[in-house]
Amino acid sequence: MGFLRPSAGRATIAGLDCWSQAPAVKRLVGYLPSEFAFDPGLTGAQILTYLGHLRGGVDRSYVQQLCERLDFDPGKRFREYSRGNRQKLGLIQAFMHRPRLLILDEPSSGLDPLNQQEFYRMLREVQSEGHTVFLSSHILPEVEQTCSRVGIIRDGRLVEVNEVSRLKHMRQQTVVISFPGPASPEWFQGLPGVAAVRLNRDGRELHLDVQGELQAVIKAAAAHDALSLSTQEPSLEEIFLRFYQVDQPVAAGR
Amino acid sequence: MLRTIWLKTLREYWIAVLCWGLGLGLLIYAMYATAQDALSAGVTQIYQSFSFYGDQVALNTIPGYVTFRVFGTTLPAFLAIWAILAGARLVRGDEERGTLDVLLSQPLARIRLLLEKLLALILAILVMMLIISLFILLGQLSAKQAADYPRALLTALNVGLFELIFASIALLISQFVRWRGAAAGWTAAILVIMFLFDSVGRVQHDFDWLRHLSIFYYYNVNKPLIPSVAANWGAVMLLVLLAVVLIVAGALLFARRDLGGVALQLALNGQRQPATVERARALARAAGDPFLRSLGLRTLRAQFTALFWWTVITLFFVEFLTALIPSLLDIFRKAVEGNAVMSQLFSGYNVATNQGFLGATVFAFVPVALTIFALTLAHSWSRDLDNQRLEIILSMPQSRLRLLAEHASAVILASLIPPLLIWLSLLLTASIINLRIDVGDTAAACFSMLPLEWLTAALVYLLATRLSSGLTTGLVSVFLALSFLMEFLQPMLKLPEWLINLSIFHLYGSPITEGMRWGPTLTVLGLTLVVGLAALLHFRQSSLVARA
Repeated sequence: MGFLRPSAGRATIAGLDCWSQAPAVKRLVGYLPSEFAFDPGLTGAQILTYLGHLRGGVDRSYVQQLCERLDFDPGKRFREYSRGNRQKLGLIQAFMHRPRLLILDEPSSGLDPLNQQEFYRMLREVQSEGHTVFLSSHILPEVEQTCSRVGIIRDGRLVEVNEVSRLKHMRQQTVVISFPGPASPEWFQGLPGVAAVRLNRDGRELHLDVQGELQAVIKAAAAHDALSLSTQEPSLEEIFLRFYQVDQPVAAGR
Repeated sequence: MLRTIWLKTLREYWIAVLCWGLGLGLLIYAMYATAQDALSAGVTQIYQSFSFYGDQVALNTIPGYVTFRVFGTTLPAFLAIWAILAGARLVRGDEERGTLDVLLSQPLARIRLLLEKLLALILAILVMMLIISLFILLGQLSAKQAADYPRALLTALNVGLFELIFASIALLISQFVRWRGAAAGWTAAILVIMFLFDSVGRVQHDFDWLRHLSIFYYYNVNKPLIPSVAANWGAVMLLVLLAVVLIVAGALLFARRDLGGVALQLALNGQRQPATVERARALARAAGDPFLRSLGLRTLRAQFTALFWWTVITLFFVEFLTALIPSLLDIFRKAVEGNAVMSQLFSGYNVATNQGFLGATVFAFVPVALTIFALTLAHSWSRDLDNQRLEIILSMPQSRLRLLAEHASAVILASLIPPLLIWLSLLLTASIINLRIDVGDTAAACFSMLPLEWLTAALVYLLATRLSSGLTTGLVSVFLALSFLMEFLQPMLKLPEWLINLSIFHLYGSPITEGMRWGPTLTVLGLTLVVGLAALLHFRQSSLVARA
């Protein structure tokens, strides 16, 4: 956004340099900061009009439509808005010029569940129109629901960037297998993709951490007359936490 | 200090208590220290024409002189600025910040919370008054008067009672309005009206009854410093009673109203639903607002109230002194003739001429006031950078150069208005009262202030690229204060030429008597240009978070 001067390298959006061509970049971008602050004496309508003018004019009927979708009252002064309403105002100003790229920092914080759902619909619409949404969030189920690709930052470095589905697929899943009689971990140790095997207390159930395909595990389970087999796919949150485990080395940024 | 609400509130006051106490104390001391010289020089002759300003009781004695100069109007009115702000924010400040919700979620009655905060305010006023009473004592000693601490203490306590009343008025009004600024504004208006009631009643005997409506009157009935004035306990009781009534009313309203709401809503509840503003109407109304078209226009609009009041107050000051010239000039001539002390009082101006009088009274102070005005205008930029209000503006497709240039243009335009109006009004008043002043010299005096204002603003912009808002304002304020003090005390300090030329007020000089001084004016303008350009270039290159 041209806020911070790079200490090294350069950042580009749509081929434009974010520092030297900042105004051109900002024309393409709708931005919501984590804390939306503004002149407390202006009304929501005045703020939207003012920012619209600074953008060189926006479609007023679309602004009104956005206000209605998020149930936002633009007649109040900024200082009178609750946190949720300030967030709605921030979202409307980010969406109002139909940007090619949306950069949203914690966009749903403060929104009630109904408005959150409406916001997710708005995201899906802009995505379906071919626009890009760049969203930063600590609410990982929200990321899982709205994003197609995620990047994970640890200690200020990008440690993973991937499709959500591939990321989940690539990462370990837990397989629980029940047997009619006492089971042995040795049956599965050494099979391709099996990282760990644990026996539960009654000795008839095994918990396996498996990475990748499950054919070898299924065959071995069938060979020992398994009664049931279930898999637990890790949530994005679990994947994220694994990246933050102390012993997990930080990979180079991609 | 964080064990109770009153201790925590008192902790918030201690810097203000020290600064105001010591500042006003030094003023009192200085007044005592110079009283004998001023009285010997016959200054009472001049003050006899200032009856609107205060009671003239025993004016030819040191206690009478100090009471008239300091305790009659100046000190109580000046300190009331603090008292009013403190009263207005006592609960409304916490409400605006959202901290009152947290406090009131504790097992604590509202009345108790308010009373604890009031206790802290009263203690703060008391400590301030104790400091002031000590400086009165020191003043008495410096003027070789008999030390009379009981009178000093009673004088300070009388001031304290006056301040408590205005703080209580602000507290009461803050129950009826949503914002502390509005409460402070209304209370300040009451202060001015009270002063006018007292002044008009004193000057025009037909309106003597007006004085009895003024708090200033009941405060000034007692003059503990002057032994010949007997104590009027009735007036004291009346003021105490007024303070109690105001506090009780404020506390009761606070206990009953909605948090974040106003007192009068109690009566409206259930009768009227809050109006829901139609979205389309609100957006259409905003679309028709011309001041939302650019950052420059928005800045100008945001500064309009400040511009209006600074201009009105400065014009009032200028007009008032100009209108006094015909009646005071002769008195000044007699007072100054062959009197070195009096000449020094007016910084070497020949106050027996119209323009000399204007130079000593108007143009010795207005440039300082207008540079402070420019500082406050430019301060909005650094403040907005600090509190992230500019973040969203800077995400708009406009270059940083353009945004800063627009803000600076608005400040340049706003700072142009007071000097222009001062010049026009001076010419108008002079022609009405048939006063001869030189049009060119007056224009030079007014418009030479512009480079000073612009340099001040440019310094704020430059420092704000690297430093926080508070530090920026502090540094520029120190620069202005040093500039003023160097120039003001130059007759005594006799600083070398290279050093005194660092004072922008010295570079301003005395264009009202000497005409336009192109050299120094162009120097300041050139400096402004360099600092302004440096600010633009630095801002273009700097990271937003890299400010100290």
